[in-house]
Amino acid sequence: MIKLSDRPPWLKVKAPSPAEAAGVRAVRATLSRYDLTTVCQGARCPNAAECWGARTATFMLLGKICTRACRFCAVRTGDPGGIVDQEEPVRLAEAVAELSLSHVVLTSVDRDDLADSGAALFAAAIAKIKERSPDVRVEVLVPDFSGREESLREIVSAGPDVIGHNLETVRRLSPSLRDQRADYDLSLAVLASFKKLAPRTLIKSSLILGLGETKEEIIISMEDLRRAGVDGLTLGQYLRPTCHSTPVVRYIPQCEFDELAAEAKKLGFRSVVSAPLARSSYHAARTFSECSV
Amino acid sequence: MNRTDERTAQCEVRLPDLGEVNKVTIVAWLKKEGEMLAAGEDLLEVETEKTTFVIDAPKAGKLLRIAKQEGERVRLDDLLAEIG
Repeated sequence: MIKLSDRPPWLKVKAPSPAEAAGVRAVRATLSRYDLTTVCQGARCPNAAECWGARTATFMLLGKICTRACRFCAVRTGDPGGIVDQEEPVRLAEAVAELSLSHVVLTSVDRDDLADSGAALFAAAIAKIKERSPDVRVEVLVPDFSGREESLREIVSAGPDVIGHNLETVRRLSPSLRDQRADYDLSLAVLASFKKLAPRTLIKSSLILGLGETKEEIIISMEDLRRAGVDGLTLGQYLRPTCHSTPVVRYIPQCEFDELAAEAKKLGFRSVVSAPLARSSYHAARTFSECSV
Repeated sequence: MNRTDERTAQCEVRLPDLGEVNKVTIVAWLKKEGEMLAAGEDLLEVETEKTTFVIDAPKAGKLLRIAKQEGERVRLDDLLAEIG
């Protein structure tokens, strides 16, 4: 197992500047006033200060408790008891307007306790933001909704500008690292359905690396994603969020991320973000601009 | 967060807001007490479970005092050092 002290120099980041720190405080104050959660907080993201300093944030809908227990994730697992805060989309739309965001990323915990896995609330959130701030681009990073076609249709009908669903890891490691209800082929099928339902919408996915996968396995996963119609790919280093999470197997240097990015481009991905600290919603606005359909 | 006393031009280096982090551990001081610092020079490293943050010297001057040692856990706004 890799020890914390073995962390390589390329994973060091600058502490926020005074201007960035002011941005962090402003975003946190707004989130708190509107009782909203971000994945930046839930996942203890190392880029939080940079993103918040630039006044961008990835909102996490449907509460703070996830019904699934993937071994690489810091979000608490439990039973949210079927409770949904129906006012969340309204508060979210107000916060987005107040923060003057131009590109919003919405994600959520998994809600297997709900009949629609939370798709209706996701759709309502997209609609409310678009209604309140018509020029804001909305990117969603959704769960698999257990593959239910009507849930996928509901998301597409709400008109998001980008749809993401993360494959997370290679086929071999998927059963041991993702929750037992998640499935490699189900994720690919969800992505393929989104592409079929919304052929003009940018479809994105991510893999987290450093969990023990080989380069060949990564390339096979990239081929699988292309076959499913995925346009945008994010590759980032797995960073253990808590001491209870699965350990890092290997820290991958930037040069290997660059090689993988070149392979991904060869496979036809229109957008590739591949770097140790890349995350599925990191620099999302830039990614969208680079490959607008 | 850093506070400068105008009369003495002394500056306190405090743990800045690192986003969603409650406590961090001081991994390494990159300068010794008594050393001269340039503004923006790397001063110390702190780490969370996920990452290592490098904190810069907020101003040029002499590193007068290191208030927290390597291995200590610190919170937002804790005094880390004084630069004069």
